[in-house]
Amino acid sequence: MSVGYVAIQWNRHKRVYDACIAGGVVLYLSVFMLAGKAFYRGAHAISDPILAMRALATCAFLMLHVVLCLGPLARLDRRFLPWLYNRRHLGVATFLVGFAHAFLAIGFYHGFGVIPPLVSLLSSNTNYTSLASFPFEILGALALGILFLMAATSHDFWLRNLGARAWKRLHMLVYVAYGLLVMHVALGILQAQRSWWPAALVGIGVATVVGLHLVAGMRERRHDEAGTRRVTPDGENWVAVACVDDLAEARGCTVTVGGGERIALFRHDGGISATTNVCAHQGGPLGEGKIIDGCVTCPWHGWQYRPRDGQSPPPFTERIETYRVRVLDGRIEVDPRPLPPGTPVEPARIADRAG
Amino acid sequence: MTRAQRRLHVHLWLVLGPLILIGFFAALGARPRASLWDAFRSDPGAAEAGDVPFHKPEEGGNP
Ligand code: HEM
Ligand code: FES
Repeated sequence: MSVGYVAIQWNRHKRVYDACIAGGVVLYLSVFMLAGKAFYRGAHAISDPILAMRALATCAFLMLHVVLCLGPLARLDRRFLPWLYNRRHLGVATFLVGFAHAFLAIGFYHGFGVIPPLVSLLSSNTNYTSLASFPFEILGALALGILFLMAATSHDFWLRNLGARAWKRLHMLVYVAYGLLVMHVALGILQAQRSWWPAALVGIGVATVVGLHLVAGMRERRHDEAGTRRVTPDGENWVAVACVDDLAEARGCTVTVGGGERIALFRHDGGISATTNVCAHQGGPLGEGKIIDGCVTCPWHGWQYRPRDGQSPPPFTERIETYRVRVLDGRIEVDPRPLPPGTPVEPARIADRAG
Repeated sequence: MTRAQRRLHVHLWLVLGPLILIGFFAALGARPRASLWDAFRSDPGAAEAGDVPFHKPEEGGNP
């Protein structure tokens, strides 16, 4: 079997997004360099390469914080969704800025001796048992390796090639990279700093990333458990899950039945359809999307599926699970057993509400 | 995300979050009171005072 490669499908949103990233990076680096020059003068002056290395380092570290926080933020507040749409571009940019920092650091601290720079990087400090003089650069190099692996496999070609599961696992390594970088900074530059504010800034960053992930995770868990308690199956396996009036036209909602996977319900063209909530791309929450051009549209990256059979419109070939659904007295009921991906199910007519 | 993926995420952060925080605070705790480099940067003249073994650039040569 082979996997076809399709180049990035550029659109206006992606161009604006990338322009924002590039503009933000240039602005940050300029402000950092100018402020650094104004602040450190005379005997305290810092040379341009070191200032640039620090500007690039803090920029990449900040960008990684944004990349990591966007996921939980989008789950807590829909206004962050547009930023999630091309988060991968931000991830690749983070790698590039981190790479520039590493390039300068290796060139400046390891490039002037007779030992090749990379050998020097790996061998010049072997104090692995000491916290205060730990070879913190190795931690940065390991993190950079992970960021490279993720940037190199960020295209959907690799998502298909590796399979969604392996790809997701690979990309969860970003959390490990983050831990390595926090230690790169804590065992590196923070060891030489006596003022309290750099450590406080890093501490706030770590608390924000960890806190947001835990808060969003717990909220999702409560959602799953609340659904579990609402189960009222009758003998026929129909479960009342929502009211027609709760759903606006062309909108969806998410319900959970009996500890199973979440089900997405959609109201469109006077009918109700039910599909899995899990997008075939990267598991985005379909029930939080809308119906656009007659198709369920994933809120994360815009993949589309027809609500009546869970198939992507041609030329796309993705399929998701569908569910049997009916409307009784204004109540929406689903049969919580998923049908095979792509199975057509006639939408329940809302006019059926009289009985 | 599937239910299993959501659970994996929460558990991962329940383990990784405290680990990162412990590592961070342990590293802060291990900070030397005043590093050589810091002393030199805040007062290059301190090299003359005796306890910081740096040569001033104008002395020529490198230690
Ligand atoms: C081969 C890889 C890397 C090497 C050799 C390396 C090396 C260094 C060195 C020598 C410093 C201390 C600079 C100084 O004394 O001012 C440093 C600081 C830092 N690095 Fe790295 N680094 C690497 C990768 C990374 C990556 C991938 C990131 C972030 C994405 C990163 C973020 C930082 C940060 C935030 C600092 C502190 C900033 C500062 O100096 O003010 N590093 N790194
Ligand atoms: S998760 Fe990417 S489009 Fe749905």
